Amino acid sequence: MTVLRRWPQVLWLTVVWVLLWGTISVKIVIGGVLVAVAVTALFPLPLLPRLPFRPWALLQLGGHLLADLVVSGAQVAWETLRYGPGARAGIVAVPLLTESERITTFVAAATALTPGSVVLQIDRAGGRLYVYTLGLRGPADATRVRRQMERLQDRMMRTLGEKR
Amino acid sequence: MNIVFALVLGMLAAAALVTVARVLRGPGTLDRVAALDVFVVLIVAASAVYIAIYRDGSTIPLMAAVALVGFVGSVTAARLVERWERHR
Amino acid sequence: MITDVVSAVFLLLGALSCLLGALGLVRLPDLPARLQAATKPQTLGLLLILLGTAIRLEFENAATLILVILFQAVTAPVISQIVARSAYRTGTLDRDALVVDELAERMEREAREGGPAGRK
Repeated sequence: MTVLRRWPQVLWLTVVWVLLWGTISVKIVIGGVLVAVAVTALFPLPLLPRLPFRPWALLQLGGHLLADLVVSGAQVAWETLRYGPGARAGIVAVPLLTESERITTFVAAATALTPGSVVLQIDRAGGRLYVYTLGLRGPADATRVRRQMERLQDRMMRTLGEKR
Repeated sequence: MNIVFALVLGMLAAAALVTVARVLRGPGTLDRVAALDVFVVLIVAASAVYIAIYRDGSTIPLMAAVALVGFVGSVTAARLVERWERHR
Repeated sequence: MITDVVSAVFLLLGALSCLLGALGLVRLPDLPARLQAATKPQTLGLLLILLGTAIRLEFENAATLILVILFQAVTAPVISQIVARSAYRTGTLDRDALVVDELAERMEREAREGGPAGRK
């Protein structure tokens, strides 16, 4: 019964189900668990070592991502209004600090919320992320992007990394 | 509050118009995919404003569904474009 | 009354952010740049509008709205990432317009040394 070992996924799906209904009652929770078990059994995800659960670090990460998103929105808007068609961008190589594929995935997703950036290519053998960034003016800005990405990876590892 | 709602809906409508312009102009398929994705987000935003005006939450599950279907659609379209180009 | 004001501020900021994102979609020069406009201000805008709406509703409905916010926050980066990757792989990216291009530098270096020219 691999479904039993996937209990965290069942738990999450049940929470989503209850949120969709908007109210909580015994009937809805039981229905949610049944649907969650069915989904988990029909569409199994690969079993990976469980992520560590660090609520405080997770909350902090969420806060940082939210702040990133606000800054990011403002920065892209500024770039649009100030430069428009003349906006410049660049591709920066960023050292990849983790070996875990899962954390790399999370980092790549989170990059899309940091100011003007998106990951274009991941070179795992060479330990590099290639990050497209809007609003670069010159090589000095590349250093800024690298430092920013370093902080992001650091936060991600502190929250979801295997051990400290 | 009515003025606020009018302003908000006006801005969203303007945004939708501009987005449609990008859908029509392209030039690439991926430009259109990105613009259509924005259009879906604008639809969700506008229905949220409707909910805010009438304080009626009955269409919220619909919003959740539209947001998710939009996501699946955009991802599928992007992958399809990639395959087209490879076969060219 | 206070909730009205807070909600109005959120809604207005959100709509403004959506509008700026849409403008970016038209004004920015190429696809990856437009993608930034499609992801960031749009997500921020929708987030603010949904928050502004949630404030005006009872708790039950607000909880479901939070779910929509989470959906958007999770899916927007994924879309941005996948479309950018497709653009990069299909060669839609205008490399000459870039200020810094460390990916091209690496590919050139590897081509000179006869090594692998990056994964495709």
